[in-house]
Amino acid sequence: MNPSSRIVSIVGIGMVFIVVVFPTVMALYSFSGGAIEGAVHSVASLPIVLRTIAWAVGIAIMATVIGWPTGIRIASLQANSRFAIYALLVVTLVIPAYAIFYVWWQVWPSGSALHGFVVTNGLLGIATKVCLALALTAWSWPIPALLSAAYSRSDNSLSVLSKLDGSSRLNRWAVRVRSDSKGILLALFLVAAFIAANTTCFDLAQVVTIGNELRSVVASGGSALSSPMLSFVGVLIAVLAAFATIRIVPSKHTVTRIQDSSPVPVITLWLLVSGLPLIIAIAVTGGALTELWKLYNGDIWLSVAIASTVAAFAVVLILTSTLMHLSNNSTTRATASVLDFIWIVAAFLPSSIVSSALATAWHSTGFDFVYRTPAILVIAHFIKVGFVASLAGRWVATCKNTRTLCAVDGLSSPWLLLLASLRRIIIASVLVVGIAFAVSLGEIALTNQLSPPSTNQPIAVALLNAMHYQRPQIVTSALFVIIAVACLCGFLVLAVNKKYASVLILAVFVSCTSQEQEPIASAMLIGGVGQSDGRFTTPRAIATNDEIIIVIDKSGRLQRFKHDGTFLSTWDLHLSGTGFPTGVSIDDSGLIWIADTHQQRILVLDQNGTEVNAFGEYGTGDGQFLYPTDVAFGDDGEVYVSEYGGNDRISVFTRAGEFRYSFGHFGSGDEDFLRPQSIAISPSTGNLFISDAGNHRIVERTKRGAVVQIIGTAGRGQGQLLYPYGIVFDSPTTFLVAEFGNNRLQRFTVDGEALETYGGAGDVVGLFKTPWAVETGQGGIIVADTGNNRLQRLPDMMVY
Amino acid sequence: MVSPKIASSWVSCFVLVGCFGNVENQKELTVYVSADEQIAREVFAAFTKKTGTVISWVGDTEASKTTALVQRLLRERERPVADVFWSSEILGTIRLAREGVLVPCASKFSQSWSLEHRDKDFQWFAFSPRARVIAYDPRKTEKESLPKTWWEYGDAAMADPRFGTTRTHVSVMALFPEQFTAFLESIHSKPFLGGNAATLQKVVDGTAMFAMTDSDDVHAAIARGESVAMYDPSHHGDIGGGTLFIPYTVAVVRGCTRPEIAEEFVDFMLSDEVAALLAASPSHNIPLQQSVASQFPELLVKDPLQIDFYAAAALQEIAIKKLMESQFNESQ
Repeated sequence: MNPSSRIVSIVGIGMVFIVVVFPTVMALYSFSGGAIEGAVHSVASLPIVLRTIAWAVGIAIMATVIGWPTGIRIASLQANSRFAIYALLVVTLVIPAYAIFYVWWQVWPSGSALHGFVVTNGLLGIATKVCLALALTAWSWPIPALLSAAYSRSDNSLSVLSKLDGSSRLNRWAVRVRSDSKGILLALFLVAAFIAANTTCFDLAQVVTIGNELRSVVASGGSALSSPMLSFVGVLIAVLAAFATIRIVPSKHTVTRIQDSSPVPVITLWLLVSGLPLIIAIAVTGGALTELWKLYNGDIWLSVAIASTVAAFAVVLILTSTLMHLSNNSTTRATASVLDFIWIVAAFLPSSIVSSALATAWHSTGFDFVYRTPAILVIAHFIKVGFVASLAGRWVATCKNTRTLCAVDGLSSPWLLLLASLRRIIIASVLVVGIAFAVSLGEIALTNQLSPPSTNQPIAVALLNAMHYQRPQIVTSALFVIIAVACLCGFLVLAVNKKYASVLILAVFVSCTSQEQEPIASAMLIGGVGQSDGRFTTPRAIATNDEIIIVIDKSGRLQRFKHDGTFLSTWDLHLSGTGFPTGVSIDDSGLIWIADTHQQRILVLDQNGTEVNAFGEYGTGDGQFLYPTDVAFGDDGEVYVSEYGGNDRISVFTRAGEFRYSFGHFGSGDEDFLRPQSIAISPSTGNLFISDAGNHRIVERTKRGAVVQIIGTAGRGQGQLLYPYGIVFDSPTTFLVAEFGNNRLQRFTVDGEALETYGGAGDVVGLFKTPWAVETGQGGIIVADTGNNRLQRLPDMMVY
Repeated sequence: MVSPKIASSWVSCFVLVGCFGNVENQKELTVYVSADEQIAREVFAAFTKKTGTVISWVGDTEASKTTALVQRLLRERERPVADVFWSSEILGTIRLAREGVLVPCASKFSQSWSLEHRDKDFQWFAFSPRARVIAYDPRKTEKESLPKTWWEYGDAAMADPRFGTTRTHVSVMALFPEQFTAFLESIHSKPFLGGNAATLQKVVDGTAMFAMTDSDDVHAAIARGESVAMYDPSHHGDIGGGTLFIPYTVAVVRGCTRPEIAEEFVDFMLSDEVAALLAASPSHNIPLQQSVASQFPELLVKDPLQIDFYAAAALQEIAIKKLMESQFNESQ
């Protein structure tokens, strides 16, 4: 493990140790010594457990019944509408559940006609519980909706087939539920865990559950062990939720967009269930904000300071989690998963267990500088949001292409890995900062139990007392602040929509290395995502001659197209294993040379797809390969093959496949390569221009391997490169580079002068997502827009 | 050798904690308070204005009230954080005194405080009590028809007896064993509510005829415009058998770092100024000082209950246990 990796692991493990493990160990040690002397009176535990489970499961079912189908609908929306809905759902989740309950509760205040009717008919108890159920459902349905939207895109193939078969709606839904069963199960688990851990909502509604009963036990001198059944069930629910989150991976359905749906039904649902009471609450606060500020401005500033610190730590956790999950070291990755698990368990534990553990740990051990200061609240709030940051880091690290690069680079360049994942990190950070801020501001249960002495108290203290003492003006004013923060969070989510990503990047990082985000005008698409003819699944290798375009994708197919994009034929390459070719070239006789990457060979086919030659085998010796990536042809019959995976060299063969010589080796020196991905031969000199992807440069070498020049350095500016993959000469004096890491094309002169960059990150026509290859074709440049599962033809770029 | 990156990270952490950390300050006092937070802020502001001492405080919540703060003081007794404990009830304070968490206050003013309203060893001082009352809706119930004694209110909405003034009242009730037993038998199965404010809300909502609560909660509800009034039943028919007064108490914590300022604060709390402030506040605490009481004649209560709080403190665990058991058995 290299030093950088070690530091990252220490930071990640250190955070969990300080925040979770240390208090837990100290608390267990303390609990084993018995509670403070004095009887602890607990009500019967079993009814409380059953009641808690009933509420948790009931709300989970209701939320999932509403949220899951809504999520499917959301998945069918256009990207901009989808992001707007995501923002609305995030706003709802970030607002504390008790706020939604309180607002619903105030809809029928004492003295109103509805309240009178309820009381007259002896329905107040039931009505309060209905109100509570509505509020908890209104808060939690975005969870299954977001999960469903993330893992479903429009109708999945099974549903499409059912519809085509003329199945009834009921049957189609049954098929859908079966195929989505994993995701639905995860949604149920998560919602149930959140509801079971809730204290304040049930407190306000006077419903005794595990959370508030444990609080009573601890407050009256007991410990978690004084009510072992309640504590055990509370911990069990947290552990089960963590297992479900880590282990249940819903099946992801590929996009087969049938139609672009309207967002109106989703927005209407949100308004009815969650939005309208909040909007009314905001509207009626009016001048009470002045009173709130006058009374509690110090409290608000203190709360903002605590929330800001929590948010800052959350960002640090995102970065450490990302790097640990991206590590080449399997132990580090396993440790990262364990840390994720711990964060999730900690977040779902009953707050009384957490608060008593923290108080015991930081006071009894003499760390008064934590116990007596708001630092303890920072730790407590961080426990509640840590899992979001940890899982956000996990999400950032799941970017397949970054993972591929990790396999090449290792963690010797964590800065570059973070740079390569920058967009996802920004999205995750924005979201997590917003969530951390809002959760910290609105967190009541832990805050009230741990609040240290101060001239000001966190606003949550005043909020809880105001709710109990029936001071609605204070409550709604404080809720206004929390809702406003939640809306800001939603706005930020909207802002990191792909369309605005560049603006945010520029705003956050004032730097001259900004990325060009202007779509290339007149770009045209060839194909789209899919496995049928003419469609692609991660197309990575392309080759062209005057007649055809050849594409090899990760479904193991070689497809042929005309230059106008007309599909011609598909050949299944019948390759074994999990990897597929990443390079293909066509020689001047029309033979197709495939760098069969994971079969460690070069495969030569004729125009009918018949194998005419194959050479190479696994190894590091002459004529052997580890992972060949590209094939290029010299003007005197040489065949140049690039490879990575440890050999990282260029090997030279005859057309018959006889090994001649090789040059280059693994490394970052002038003579070295780190994943030479593609080769282009200069039309004028015959020299090799090699995209040295891991070293973020283009290297010009003579046929015998002498270094002529090194072009580019790592970065995002013009003249800089980030994982250059594809390279092609588009004129005798210029060449184009497809940059996987910068999601763009860049044109250079043969002397190494950077002329222009094209495109940028995005999925609209004219933008790219991790492009692997670029070729010239009749009527335009052809780009393998890999992450968008398509090719793009750029006619206007043939200007040289 | 520690790398610069790690060292700077730790420095940043300490700076961060330092920004939040309490700096030792002679003119600062730490108070744990279970009185209403808005009233407490007013009192603290008055003390700061008078003496220049800044008060850092920790409050309670309506749900767990004084009990949670008492437990916190007990946990911290080896290294106390608080200098002063200002409680909204008395039994918890008595327990703290018994457990050695408090220290005698030697200030001149407190030395002259009436024995009836203080610990015999000057470990705590009672002041500005509230009355324990029954809240009812005068639109629905005539005052004359109300039951006259506490023992007839088994149906009244009640807060969780493990906390706050309900705990105090139940413990006092246990000093009358026959009546208390009959009271337990008359309690019908009902959920204990989250605090006195919640019990009063039941009356406001119309789901309960009566609620056992404190006078300050009723005053607050009246101020909000609710249709509610208070009635003070008696505990027994003899002289001194009337309304239970539950006083605030103030005490200095043993081992506190600022004992002089703590004693100064105790004197302030026992002053006419605070008594008048509390009497005039929304909670309308009853002043014990004659000089102040004469300014608030509407708050005077005839025939308050004469009670030995030490005896009640000794019975509280048994009383709570019996009440919880009767509730549990009733619900089976």
